[in-house]
Amino acid sequence: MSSPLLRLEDVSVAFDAPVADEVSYSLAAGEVLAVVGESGSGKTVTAMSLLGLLPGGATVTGRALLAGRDLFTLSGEQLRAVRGNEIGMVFQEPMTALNPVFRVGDQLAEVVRAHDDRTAAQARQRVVELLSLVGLPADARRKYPHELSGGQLQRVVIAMAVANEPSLLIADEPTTALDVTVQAEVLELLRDLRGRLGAAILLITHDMGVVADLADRVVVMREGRVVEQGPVAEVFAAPRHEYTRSLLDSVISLSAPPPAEPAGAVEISPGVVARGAHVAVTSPGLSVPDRPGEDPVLALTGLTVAYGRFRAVEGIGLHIGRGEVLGLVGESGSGKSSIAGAVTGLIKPAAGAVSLAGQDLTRLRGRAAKRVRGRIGVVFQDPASSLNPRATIARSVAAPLLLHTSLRGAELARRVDELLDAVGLSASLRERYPHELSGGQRQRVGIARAIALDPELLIADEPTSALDVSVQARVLDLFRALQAELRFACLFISHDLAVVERLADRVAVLHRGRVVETGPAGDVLAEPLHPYTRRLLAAAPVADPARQRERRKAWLELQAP
Amino acid sequence: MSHPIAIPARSVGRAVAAMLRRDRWALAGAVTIAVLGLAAVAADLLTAIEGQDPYSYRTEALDPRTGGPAGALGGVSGEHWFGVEPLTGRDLFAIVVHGARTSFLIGLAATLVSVVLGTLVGAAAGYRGGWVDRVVTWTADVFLGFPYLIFMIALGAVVPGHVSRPLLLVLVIGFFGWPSIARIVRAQVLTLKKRNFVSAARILGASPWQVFRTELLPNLWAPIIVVATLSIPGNIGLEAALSFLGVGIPPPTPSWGRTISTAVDWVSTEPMFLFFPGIALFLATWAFTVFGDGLRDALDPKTDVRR
Repeated sequence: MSSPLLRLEDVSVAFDAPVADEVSYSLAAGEVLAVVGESGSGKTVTAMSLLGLLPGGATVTGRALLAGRDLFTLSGEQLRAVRGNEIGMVFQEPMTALNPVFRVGDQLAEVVRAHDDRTAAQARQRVVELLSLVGLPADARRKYPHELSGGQLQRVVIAMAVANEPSLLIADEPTTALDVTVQAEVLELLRDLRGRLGAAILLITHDMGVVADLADRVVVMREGRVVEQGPVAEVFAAPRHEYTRSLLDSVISLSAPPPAEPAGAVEISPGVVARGAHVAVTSPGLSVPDRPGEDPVLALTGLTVAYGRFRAVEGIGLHIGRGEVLGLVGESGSGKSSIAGAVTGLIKPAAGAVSLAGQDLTRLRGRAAKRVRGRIGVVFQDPASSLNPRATIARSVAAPLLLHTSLRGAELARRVDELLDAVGLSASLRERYPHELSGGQRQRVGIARAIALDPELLIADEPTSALDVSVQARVLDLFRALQAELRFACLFISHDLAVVERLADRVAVLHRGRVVETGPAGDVLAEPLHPYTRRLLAAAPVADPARQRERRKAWLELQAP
Repeated sequence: MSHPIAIPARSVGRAVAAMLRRDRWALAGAVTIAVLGLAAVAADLLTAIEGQDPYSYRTEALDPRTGGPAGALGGVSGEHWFGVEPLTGRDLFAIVVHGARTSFLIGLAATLVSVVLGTLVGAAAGYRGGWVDRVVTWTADVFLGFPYLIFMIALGAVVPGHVSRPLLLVLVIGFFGWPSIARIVRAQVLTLKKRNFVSAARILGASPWQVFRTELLPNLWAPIIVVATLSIPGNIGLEAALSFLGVGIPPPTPSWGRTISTAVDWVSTEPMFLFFPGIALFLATWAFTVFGDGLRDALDPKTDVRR
C-alpha cells in the first residue's frame, strides 16, 4: 500500500462527551475494510464524520484524507461534491432511505443528474444500467418503494450509492435490517460490485459473520477507541487484544457444516417425507402433520391466523412437550409472530385450536381465561419497549404477581428480590427506572417478569436479537440455565439459526405461513430435508473466514437453478 | 429507532423545575399565574387591607355631575387603588381581585371536567378501537365544529334561574372542552398500545381498567398536563365572553367579562375602567399560554430538538 485511498489520522469526535477518541485507520483502493464494534463503540460516528453528516454540536478533530485531501477542511460546497461523487453511502434501513412518494427510477435519475449534466433520456439510460448492475429488472424503475421488498430496496439504495462510480462506498450495517437469505444476496452483490467497479468499501457492522464473509481487513473498536486492526484471517485466527478475543468467543455461529443433499428420507404420505422423527414437506402449500405425544403442554391444531384476506398462518399444527424447547424458525413474514400472538391471546385466530394442557384457550372466557394467562410467560424482542418507562423495575417484575397472586407488601418485595437474583440482577436495581438500565439488564428484567408465576409455558419472541453480541451470549446462557432449573416448556422464536441450535430440543421451520420441516434440532440443522431450510442454513454467515468461504460456495450452488 | 415516548421518563416535577430555570417566558408566566392566583385566594384579605369590598356602592367617590369617578385616572387613590366603577362607585380593585377568583375557579374547574372526560373517552377510543373509536372520533369532530357559543347563550336563556350559574358554566364549558383532550389522549394511547409493556399486561390477563391505570395513565400525564394548561386560558376567556354577553355570572358576583362589558360603554370618558379588568384578563390568559408552551417544550420530547 503506497498511498491509501482514505486515511484517518487521530480522528476524535465529541458531543458533550467524547464518542470517538484518536481513531486512525486507512483503506486502500479496492479494499474492503470492516469496522466492527458493539453499540456505543463510535464506529458509525467516525464514518459519518467523513461525510460531514454529524448532527450539530459535534466537535471533530484530526485529519481524514481522501486521496490526499482533508475532508474536514472542505467547505459545504466542496463536501457536497464529494458526497455521491467520490463517496457513496448505503444506509441500514432501506425502507427509510428512499422517499416513499417517488418512483424508484425517478429517485435514481435525480442522483444521476445531481452530479452530472445529462439529458433526461441519458439519465433514463443510466438508471436502467444501474438497475441491471444491482440485479434488478429494468421495469423496477416504475415501482414505488412500498412495492419492493427489503432486499430489492437495499439494491436500489446501493445503485444510488454507486451511481456516479465513487471510489469509496460507506456501508453502515447494510444487511442488519434484512433476512438472512436476503443478507447473503446483498453481500454477494457488494462483493460483485467491488470486483466490477473497483470501489473500496468501508463496512460498518456488528456482525462478525458479515466481516468474515466480505472484508479483507478489520478494525475493532470499543468505547471510541481502536483496539485492534489487521487482516481478517489473522485477527480471526489469532486475536491479540483481549476484547477482540471475547467478542469472537461470544459470537454464536452454527456448528454444522454447510448442508449437503439429504439422503434416506422416506415418503410417509403424499408430499411428506420423514427420517425418523424428522419430517418435511416436499410439495408447496402443505404443512408438516403434527403428532403430539402424550400430554403436551401446548398443542396447536389447524391454526389459521388471517388479517383480512391475507392468511399469515394457514392451518398449522405444532406441539411442545413438558420441559421441551421448540425453536420456531422463519424469516420476516413467515408467520412466527402471528403464532406467538395466537398463543398469547393478543391475536384471535381465524380457525383452529390453541390448547394449553388440554384446555382450548380460544374458547375460554372471563375468570377462566384470566387464570390461564398466568400460566404463560412472555419475553419480548425489544427490551426497550417491553418495560413501562414510568414504572420501577420492582413494579414491572411484580406486575404478574399483583394480578394473579395475593402476595403483597414484604412478601411481594421478597419474591421480587428472589426473581431479580434468579436472573442475575442485584436487588439494588429495584427502585430504578428502565432507562437507567442497559439493554441486557432490561432483558433480564423482562425474563424475571416472565418467570414470576413459574409458568408452564414460556414464549420467547426473538429475545436476544436486539442485543449486542457479548450480551446476547450471556442472556442465552441465563435462559438455558433457567429452563434447566424451572423446566418450563418453551416456544423459542428466532430468525437466527445459530441461537436456535444452542437452545432448542426440537425445531420447526416456518415458511410463508406453513410448517415445512420439523424434527430434533440436531437433525434439522445438520441434514435439512426441505430446500428452504437448506437455503436458510447456507445463507447464515459464520465468524470464520475459511469456513465462511466454503459456506458461500455451497450457498452459490444452491442459488444456481 | 427513536420513539417519541421512549425518552427517559424523568419525573414531571423535575422537568418543570428544569424548564423554569431555562425558559424565561415560562417563568414569567408561572410568576404571573402565582400572583393572580394568590390575589384570587387572598381576595378578601387584600380588599380588607384596602378597606373596601366589591359590593358596596360608594357614591361619594363619584363626580356628581357626570356619574363618572371623581379624580384623575378613574379615581385611582390610596383609598381606591384601581379607582371606582362609574355610576355605582364600587371599588374596582375589589372587583378585579374577586373577579380573578371567579375566573380562576371556573377556568380550572371547567378544565378539570374536560380533562377527566377527555382522558377517559380518548383512552377508551384508543385502547378499544373498532366501533367505540369510530363513535368517539365522530362525536369529537361534531363537537369541535359545533357553534358552542350560540348553544351556551341559548342554554343560559333556557335553564331556570335557580340552577347555580357557576356550576352550569363549569359543566357547559368543561363539556365542550373534552374533544381536544380526547384526541390527544387517543393518539398517544394508539402508540402506547403497540408497545410491548402494554401487550405484556394484556397477555397476563389484566383488565382494560388495570391496563389503563398502571400502564397507560403514567405515560399520559405529560401530554394531559400540557393540553390542560393550554386549555385553561381558553376557558377563562370563554367564561369572560359569556359574562360579557350577559349569560355568564349574574350580578352582583364580580366577573371580569361583565365588568369589561359595562366598561366598553364608558371607554371614551373613563378608559381606566376598561384598562384594569382588561389587563387582568389579558395577563391571566397570556400567563397560562406561555407557561403551557414552556411545559410542552419541557415534557414533549418531540420538541426537544429545538434546544
